Amino acid sequence: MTDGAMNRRRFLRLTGTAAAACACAGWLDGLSGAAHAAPRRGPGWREAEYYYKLDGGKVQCTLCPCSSSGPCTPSNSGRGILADGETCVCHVRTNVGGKLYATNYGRASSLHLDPIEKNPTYHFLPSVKALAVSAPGCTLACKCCQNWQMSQVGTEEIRTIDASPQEILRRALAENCRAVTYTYTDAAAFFEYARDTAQLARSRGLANTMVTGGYINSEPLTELCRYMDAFSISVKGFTEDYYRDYCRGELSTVLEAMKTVKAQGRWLEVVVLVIPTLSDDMAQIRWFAGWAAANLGVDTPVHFSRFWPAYRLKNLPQTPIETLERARSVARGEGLRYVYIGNLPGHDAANTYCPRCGKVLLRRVGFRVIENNLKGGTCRFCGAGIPGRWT
Amino acid sequence: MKAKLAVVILVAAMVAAAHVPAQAATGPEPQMRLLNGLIAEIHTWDAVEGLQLSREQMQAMLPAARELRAEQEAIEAERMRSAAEFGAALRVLREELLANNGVSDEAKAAVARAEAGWKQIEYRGDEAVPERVRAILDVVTPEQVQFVAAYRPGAGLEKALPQALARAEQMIEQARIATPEQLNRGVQQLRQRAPRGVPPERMRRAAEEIRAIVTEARALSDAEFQAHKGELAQRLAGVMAPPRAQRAQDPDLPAKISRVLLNQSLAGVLEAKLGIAPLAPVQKPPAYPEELVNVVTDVRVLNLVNSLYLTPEQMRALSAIIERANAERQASKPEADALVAQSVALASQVRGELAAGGITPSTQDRLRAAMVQNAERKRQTEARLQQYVTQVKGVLDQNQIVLVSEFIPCLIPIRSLTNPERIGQAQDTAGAEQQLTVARRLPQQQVDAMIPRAQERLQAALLHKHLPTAELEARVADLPRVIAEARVMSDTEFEVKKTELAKRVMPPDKPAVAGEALDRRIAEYLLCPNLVTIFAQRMAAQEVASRPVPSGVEG
Repeated sequence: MTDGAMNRRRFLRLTGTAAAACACAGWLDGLSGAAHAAPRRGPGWREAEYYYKLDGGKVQCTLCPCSSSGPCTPSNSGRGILADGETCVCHVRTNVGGKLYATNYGRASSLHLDPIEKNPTYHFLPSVKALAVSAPGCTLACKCCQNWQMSQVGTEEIRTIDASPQEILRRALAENCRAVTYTYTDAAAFFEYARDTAQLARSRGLANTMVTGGYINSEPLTELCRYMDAFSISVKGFTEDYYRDYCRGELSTVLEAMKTVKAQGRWLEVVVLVIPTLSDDMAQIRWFAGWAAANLGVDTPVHFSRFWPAYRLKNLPQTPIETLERARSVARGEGLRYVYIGNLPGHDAANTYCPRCGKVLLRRVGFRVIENNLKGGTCRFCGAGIPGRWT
Repeated sequence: MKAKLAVVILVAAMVAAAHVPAQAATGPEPQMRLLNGLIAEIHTWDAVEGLQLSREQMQAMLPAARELRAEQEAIEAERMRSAAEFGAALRVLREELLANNGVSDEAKAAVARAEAGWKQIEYRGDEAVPERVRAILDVVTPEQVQFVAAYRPGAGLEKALPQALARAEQMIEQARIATPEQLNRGVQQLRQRAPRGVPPERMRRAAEEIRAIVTEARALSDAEFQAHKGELAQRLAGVMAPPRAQRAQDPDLPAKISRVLLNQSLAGVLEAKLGIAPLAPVQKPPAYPEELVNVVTDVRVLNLVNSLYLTPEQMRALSAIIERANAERQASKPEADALVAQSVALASQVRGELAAGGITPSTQDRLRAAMVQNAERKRQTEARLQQYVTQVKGVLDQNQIVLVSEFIPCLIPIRSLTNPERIGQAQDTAGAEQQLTVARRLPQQQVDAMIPRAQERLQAALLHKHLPTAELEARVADLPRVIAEARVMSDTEFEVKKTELAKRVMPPDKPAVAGEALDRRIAEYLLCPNLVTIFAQRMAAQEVASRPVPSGVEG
């Protein structure tokens, strides 16, 4: 055996050293990785609005109330305060170097031609074709989300389409749309993008409608109201506990948002998701209907929407039809005049009935209006005025 | 000869048609199956006779025909074996549909598996079709191909149907009292209404013949006209019957050859004609277990009624209508059975006479009498059925009628019926959209290389959609254009238009039915006798659910 030859002892020593070096290097890599965790600005990022700069390169976002309701980041840096390099739980607002960026500006997660009834908005420009726009992220984290693939992810985690507000407008006009709808995910999470697009669309005579969970602070919502014509706000449950446990949000904010929209004079329709065992208690439904009648007015349309097992609530069944029918009956008993059942295409509770003569004004199957008995916003049979924007 | 044969076919078809609603729930009874088998065989006799095949041609076709018969028998045997598995999966699905609380993924998967296996057996039979069609095309002459292309059982016989004759009689009566200008206009209108593809020369001749018949009728006195009205009407109906020239241009020739000739009875017919074997027993369609037929009916009907959100009152009203319809069905059953038996006897006799060399005049007379009797019975049955359909429509609201018209018969509930379309959820076009998205990202060279294979795959996928050949080919041919369009679109334009593009490749959803088709659907689904039990179970379940919980017991 020569000096240079490998014997067993030398082999073990060498491999042992190499393994230790590797382990050490890995650890060091981990350290250096932590030191460089701050992401670089991506394409299309834009400085966010509604935030405060704090000491030490930290920021505090005030778009939604997550800053006041608890820890906002995985590292728990404290009550919605984002350290440099951190991204908010909405997935789309990131602090880079002491500046807060909206990472989803101009990055559409879907573009679709939809009937406006899909929002749902049943008292707003019936049968109008709308260009539906969404962008990644959401201010809430509902366990029942139907579009979680887009709402519970960051901009870089899914395929997006570069679509500036100008491009959205161009496309909407090219497709002869009369409205732009901000939907699928929560438009509150793409506040800047939605607002700029809505502003542009309005300047060209298009209507804007927004579908939201209503988890947004009053100030930005009031700003959105300047450009949006109609809102469809979704209520997921009737207690603070429910909102905390199943949505990472607060009921009070959602109720406040509805009142703000109403106070700003915008058309509002409320969607109530009825989930078996979680939000199908008739006493709670009665309470909410009473609240809506008192605070939003009896003419505010309310849609009881059927739950479909999805995302993290696949263990629950879909809502029985009888439950939805009972909820509708309870809400009507509280004085609400326009109560619908959603997600049951063809059900007669999707029709709009005249509160005075009881005849069908708008007959709907799915998202289609197959019969329209409105004449200038009034019932063709008895002349009763029907609230909404009809032309 | 062919004309008389077609009368038989028509008669049998009418008998079958008159019984469809009654049979829907329980499946064909033995006599009906026998009649259907006879009809299929008589079709083949008719086609083979019409083709005037030479002995050599028949001998050349025989091996393929025998192979086909053996294969069909093997397929049926296999289907019978897999019927048990299919039935078990469907029973689970039926229970879930009865509960109407959504269908579990497990039940759907089990039915999808069983259905796929079932279809696989069917498709296996389809695979050899192109080869067999080619074999037939190799044997027959171009004139014989033209005959097959033009062949439609009973097509030339419409002129003999009572309703066609009645129309012709009415027209001739009007023509007798019309002014010359009105007459000219009438003939002109008839020419305009003629099917496309009829040669102008033939049209001119037809117009001359019509004019001659009318002139003849106008020259007759009233008494003479009454005496000859029937004969004149028959001649007029004959001139107005759809000409075969139109059918000869049918682009769907391979499918037509397959339909007309490639069936189980071809081998028997050829063997009998060649004198190789005596007339074999009629090949009856298979009798699936009644329980399987019932469960399939239940599942299909439940898929519809579950999407209608029927109220208890509506269920009660529908049950009452169905029970009335059923009682009437039962009351008329002996008569219907007798008619079927009579038709079976007649068809058997025709079959025997065909095998012996031709139909006798007395059989022809019996056929005519049976035709009139059946036409009358069909009219009465339809009128009675219509009465119940109208009652059902009265119970449903307009939303529900739209849902019925848009219903796509299925075993596994269609997503769109239970869950509205939403972004992010798979639709019918999702696969094609995804493929187009991928095609946009690839380099041109790769796309060019991929297109032939993509077309092959598309063709294979579309084969099972039962599209006409021309449409199938057009869609396959359109694929490179669709891909090219998708590639030049901007991201936003593609995102908005991808569904539309995908629909150009994949067949669109079945259109909603209306008019008579809607009435037929209501008759088939909402007058189904099984619904009475289903409604009773459902209402009982609802009653239990709404019963108050006794105090002290947790609900």
